[in-house]
Parts: sequence; C-alpha cells; structure tokens
Amino acid sequence: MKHLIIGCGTAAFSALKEIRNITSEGEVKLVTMEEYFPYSPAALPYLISKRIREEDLWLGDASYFEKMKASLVRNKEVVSLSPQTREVTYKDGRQEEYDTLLISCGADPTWPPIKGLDSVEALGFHTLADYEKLAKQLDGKKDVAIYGGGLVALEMATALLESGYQVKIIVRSRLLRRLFDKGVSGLIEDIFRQHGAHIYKGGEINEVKQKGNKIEILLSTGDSLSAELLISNLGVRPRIAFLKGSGIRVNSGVLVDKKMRTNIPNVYAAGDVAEGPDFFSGQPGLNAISPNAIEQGKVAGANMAGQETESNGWIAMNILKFLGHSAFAIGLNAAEVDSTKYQVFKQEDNRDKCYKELVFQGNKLVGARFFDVEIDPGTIRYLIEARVDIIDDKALLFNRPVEVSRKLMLEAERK
Amino acid sequence: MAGLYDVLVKKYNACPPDCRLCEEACAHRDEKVSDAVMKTIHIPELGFNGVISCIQCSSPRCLEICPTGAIVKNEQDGVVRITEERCVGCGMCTMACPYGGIYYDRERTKPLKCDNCNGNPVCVPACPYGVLEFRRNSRVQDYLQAGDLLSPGTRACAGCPAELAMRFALRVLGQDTVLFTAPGCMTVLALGYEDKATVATAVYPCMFTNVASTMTGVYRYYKHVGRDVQLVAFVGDACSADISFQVISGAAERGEKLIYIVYDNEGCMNTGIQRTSTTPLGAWTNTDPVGEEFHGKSQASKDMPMIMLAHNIPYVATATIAFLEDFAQKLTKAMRVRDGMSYIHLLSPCPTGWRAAPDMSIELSRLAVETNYFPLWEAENGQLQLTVEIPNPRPVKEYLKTMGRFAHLTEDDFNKVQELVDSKLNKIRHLALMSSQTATEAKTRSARY
Repeated sequence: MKHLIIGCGTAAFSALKEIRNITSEGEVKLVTMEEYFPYSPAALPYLISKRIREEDLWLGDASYFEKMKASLVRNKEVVSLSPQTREVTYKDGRQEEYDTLLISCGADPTWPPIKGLDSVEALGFHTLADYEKLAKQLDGKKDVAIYGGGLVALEMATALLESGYQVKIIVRSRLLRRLFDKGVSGLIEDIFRQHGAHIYKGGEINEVKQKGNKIEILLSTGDSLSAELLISNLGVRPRIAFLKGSGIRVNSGVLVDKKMRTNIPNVYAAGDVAEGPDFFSGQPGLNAISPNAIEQGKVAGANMAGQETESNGWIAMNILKFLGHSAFAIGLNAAEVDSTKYQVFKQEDNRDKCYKELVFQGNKLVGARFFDVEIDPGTIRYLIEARVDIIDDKALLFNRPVEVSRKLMLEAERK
Repeated sequence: MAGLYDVLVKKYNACPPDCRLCEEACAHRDEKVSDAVMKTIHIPELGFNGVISCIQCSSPRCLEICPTGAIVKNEQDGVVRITEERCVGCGMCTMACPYGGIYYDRERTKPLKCDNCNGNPVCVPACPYGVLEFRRNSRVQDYLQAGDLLSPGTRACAGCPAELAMRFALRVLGQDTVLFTAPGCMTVLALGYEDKATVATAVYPCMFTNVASTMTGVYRYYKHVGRDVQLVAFVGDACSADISFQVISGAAERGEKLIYIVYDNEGCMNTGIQRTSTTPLGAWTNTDPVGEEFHGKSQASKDMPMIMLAHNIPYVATATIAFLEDFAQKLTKAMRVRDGMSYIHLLSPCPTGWRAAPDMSIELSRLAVETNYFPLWEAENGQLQLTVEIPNPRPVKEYLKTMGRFAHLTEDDFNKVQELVDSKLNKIRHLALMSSQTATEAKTRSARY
C-alpha cells in the first residue's frame, strides 16, 4: 500500500502521524517542491523578530522520518495528476504511482494586479524561501511598507516593529476587518500607531514606482507614500494550477467531502489547498489556518489508512498576540449573522479599551470574539466544537467568561 | 519507556468557596515565574468551586499545533513541557487546549503550564481539603518494561509461579547479577537447554549443601579483583530450610553480603513430592501418606523467615507474586543492603505437589495472604512490620480446601490449622509492636540529646 503525500506542511505532517498511528505497514512518502525539511509557515514572522532561529524551525528531520517509517523527498514539484493511471508527474518528467494520494501542497500568497509591480522590490511572504529573500532585503533598510491588514500582515508588522524598523501599513478597509468591528479595529490601529507604525486606510495600491532606493506607492485614495521595501500579506490562494486537466473538482480550492475525499477515488486533499465542509452549515469553504490543517490532515490520513473517519467541519478561528495585546476570534461573527436567528452578547462601548462578544444559536455557542480580555481560547473553542448546551448561564458566561467557560467544559467532560 | 505515569488528580467541584491555597502555593513554586498554573474556579452564583490545570494528555493538542515543535511530551514521566528557547509566544497552544491547561503569561509573552513540579507538586500538600492527590504509578510497571533476563517459555510444570517469580525477580535485580541455584525445579530453567543459555546473567549451579558457602567464596574472589557484585541465590525450601540450613546459618552469622531468595513450595517437588521442614501440618506428600495409619504430615512447619530474623541480618522479608509491587519493593530493599545478608522467603504454590488446579497459582498465593496463612512482613535491621494488612481475614479453611493435598482434613484439622495461623500472626504482631516501640524510644532518646 503506497500513500503519496504532496507537500510537507502541517496537513501533510498530520496525515503522516495519523497513518502511522493506525498502521506501521505500507509506504508513506512525502514530496515537497521546497528544499527544506518540514516547517510551519506560522513560525516565519518570528524569524524576523529573532524569537527563533532557522535551525529551530524543523518539525521533523531525517531521523524523524526514519522513526516514522516514512520518506521525504525534497525539491520535487508535482506538475500534473493522471487519475486513470494513478500517477503524478514531476517537473523533471518522472512519474510516480500511488495507491492513495493526499494533495496538501498548501497555498500561495495572493498578489492583486498593481501597475509597475515587476519593476520594484516587492515580496510575498509565505514560505521559508520568501523569508530568506526578505531577510537579505531587510539588511541595511529602515522602513518597510506592508500591504494588508489581516492577521499575518499584523504579525509581520509586529515582528518588524520589534526589530526596530519603521512600519507603514496599507490596508484597503481597516485592520482585522474580518475579525472585529470598527470600534475594535480602531483600538488596534491606535496601538500600532503608539508603537510608531503609520497606517494608510481605505485605499488600494494603484501603482508602484522605483525611485532610487525607495518605492513610491500610489493609493486609490490619492495618497502616496514611499518605503524601501514592500511586503504583501493579503492572504493566500490554494495551489491548484497543476491539477488542471486531471478532472478533479475544484472551486477556489480542491473540493472535498467530510472524509477529505475529492471526486477522484483514492485522492484526498487537506489543509490550505482544500475546500471542505464547514462546521455550521456543511458548505464547502477555505480555511487556511493551522488547526484546520491539523484536523483535515488527520481525517485524510485516517481514511487513507483504511479507518473511516469524518471531519466535524472547519471553524474559522484566529489568535494574535501583538505588542503586549491579545486578540482571539472564533466562529460566527455577530456583524454577519441574522440577528433574528442568533442571540448576541456584546460590549456596547470600548471605553475600557477591550472587547468581548458571544454569539448563540439557540443554546449553543457558535461564535466569540475577545480583545484584551482574559480568556482560555481553547475552552471557548471546546464549547463550540462539543456543542455544549448553555441554557441558563449565557449572561454569566459573558460576564465572567474565564471561570464559566471552564466550569461548563468540566461539567460537559463529566457526561 | 512509556508506562503508566504519575497523575495529579483533582476532585470536581469539591473546593471550599473562595479558597486559593493551591493557587498561592503554585505561584510560589519557582522564583523565576510568579503565575500560578493551578487555577481556582469560584462561581458563587452557580455554587461551583473547583480547580483546573493541565492533565498531561497522551496526545496533547498543544503539542500538535505548536508551529516550532516547542512543546514535547517526556517519555519517562509523561509530562508535557514547553521548550522555552523554541517558543515564539504565538499563543496557538492556548487555542488548541480544550481543558484550560495552558495559559498565556502576558508579561513574559510566553505560555505557561503545569509540569507536576517535576514529580513533587507543591499544590498537593497545600490543600487541606483532600481535593488534590498525586497518584504515583505502581513501579511494577517500570520493572515490566525492563528486559526479560529469562528466555521465553518454561520447562516447569504448567502453572508454576516460581518461574514467574524468577522471571520478575531477574527484571528487578538486573543484568549485573550472579545467580546461584541448587538442584531443584528452578535449576532446570536456569541451566540452559541443550547448548543454549536461558538466563542472561552469570549462573553458578551449586550443590544442595553449599549454596551460601559457595557464594561466600565467590564474593571474596570478586572483592579481591576489585568488584562489588550482586550475588543472588534462587533456591528452594528443601535446600535452604533443610539440606543447606547449616550453611545458610553460617553465612548469615558471618554477615556475608548475599541476597538469598527462597521459593518455598513446601516440599521436595522436583524429586517427586517429598516432605521438607516447611511442609505444613496435615499436608499429603509421598513421604506423608494419607490412609488408615497416617493422616498427612504430623508436624507443623518450621518458620524459616523467623529463624533468619533471629540471625539479626540487615533484611528479612516474606513475599509472594500475588503482591507484585510488594515483592518488587522488597527486592529493591534487599539490593540496597551493603553490610550483610538479605533474605526473602517467597511462598510458591506448586500445582503438581499441592494437587491444585494449574491456573490457580496466583489466586492461591493471594488467598494464602488473605487468610493470614502467609503474612507479608519485612524486618529492616530487626525492626519488623507487616507490609500488607488484611483487615478482614478469611478463614484458613477456604485456602486449605482449594488443594488436593488437604482433601482428607476434618473440621477438627481445620481448627488446628486456624489456631496455628492465629498464633503465628499474633507473634508477628507482637514483634511489630515491639519494633515500633523500640523505634519510638530511640527517637525520644535521640531527641533528648
């Protein structure tokens, strides 16, 4: 039995561990187009702030793969898939057969069309190769512009501020728009400003021009700014181009069911590349975060090893620790749900410079958001994932989220 | 190697309202860190008062999600720890743990979690209400992870517990042992098969008459060449209580550093079931016939461990494999004796000689202890104490009735045996009492000066 896994990131690793949890038989082979040992992209911003060194990145080295009775082949890019012959083809022309295949090759940073992009020093940031390019570029430079206002953009901004760079954040709407409302965004923007960052809101980058050692950036608002370096953190898009012509069903990502199966027999997908059912509606969607990659990888691995397993569906969740502050968001957003069908508890003003919000559907917690409020994120996640019935204590949970969430979890665990 | 780990157990919703003793003790566990990782939960509106801390999951989700692999689970103690140098403070672990076990320290911008204080949790003694308990794993599991020094399979009778005892004892004693045997059942196992060895230590087969004296000579030899060795005898009752009694007594009196383990199957079993001085009153053997003239053995057995106690050697104990933890601890104590002999008397039911079902050996061993027929005690430097207390002992009749060798006994006989059992236990209790009094006196005396 040969299990072939494209990619060696979080989802691939999770699948490998699960296959080997179930059986020591069969061959498990991971193929990556990168030259590095497995690492998590989530750790990359911290290389910049030097909280970690490159040597500490590796999640598994040669001895790990030996122990797991698996193999890792690096520098091998899959360029096409032939389901009829159960083969993948590599860039060097070689072909490889599989009994089961897991597509967990992740995603690429997105770049919107910008006039003049080719002529400037602009970098995406998702892989270790991206980091190495960036590290070289940062040497001797003082100011950096970051295009994006999401989680990774802010991690980058934090890392650069901590390392003493001048940071300019260009965001099309506002910071962490998807996670928080205007009020909280405002609080977060204030914090970055207090630490010396400049924030340009409400406009896209229309054009960039190289002027000597600086990049001139022209925004759709009419503003312009300059920086020595421009980094894009606008999110990622699944790497699916190589699957063209294979007959595999894709949308934005590779479409999978609850068992991470694609429409092609014995072919699975998991992680950033996959578009699988979500927890609340069962509808397919992308969810490029680590917890998702872990869960989907596990489910895919189990099914590949012959143990039928279903995913509970993905839940959007994120945690950000930045500049001494903390943000956590999970599940449905109060701003996006039909208020007639959901019960929302939220703080009315931000005078305490913090924020909390809970969203219930009936007796079940379906969403929560916290900014600078002490909380066990994992316990809140438990209440959602385990669909714990919260009947009388909703208000108490909102008022004292730490203790009550813990109590509800302990109580649920006893049943 | 993974076995059963020590576990910090917390009672659910069992704390007094507003008590934070454990949390305060935890906050002071380390000079470097002042955040507690044992957290109290007090919700007066719900009448809920409890504690929460990391439960050291077997498949920790915090470990899974950490992007740098900074969280590891130690195989030896099962504790999940954060490797500080690899931690980037991203907080994802706090999002992964469903059980409220890992917290973000905002000051140090790193996560914190319970590590059982590396085996001595400070919260446990701090709680006077019995909410917390640190349950230590039975160390027997650890020994069972150690290599088996006896080859697989057995040439002893079906159900023989002596083989099990020897196998287990060797695991505890370890490979740095010289094993001494005398003719008998276990020698058959120890002496190899055709041209293959069956024991992974040095084995010295002796004669019936000279086990302890041979050991004496061997010890002197090793000492002469500069090695402090562990010499262990694993011999039967026929050898020790009878044929080699003089020699063992001499070695004990001279203070020879030997570990002497006797597997007492209450007879000369290897030679076809003949009586020894440890064969109990009324038992049938081929030399204690049952019929019109004779009614099994007419003498009560000799109390061999008591006799060894009278030799004032550093360590004497009784043991049986039905109480494996107890046996392991006694072996460990024997191994620690540096200045004289240690003696362990093992009750070893013999299905063949006792006419018992071959699958009953462990049960018989347990029943022997639970009827007080074979009390489990130890004496360190003459201070005797029972190591297993039986609060509601069963009548010894229940034990005797399981064996064919006692099939001919009458109610009268059972009563006689019960008397013997009771008086023996009585003597042991008195000795134990004397020992504890002596210990108290010694303490008081030393306190005065």
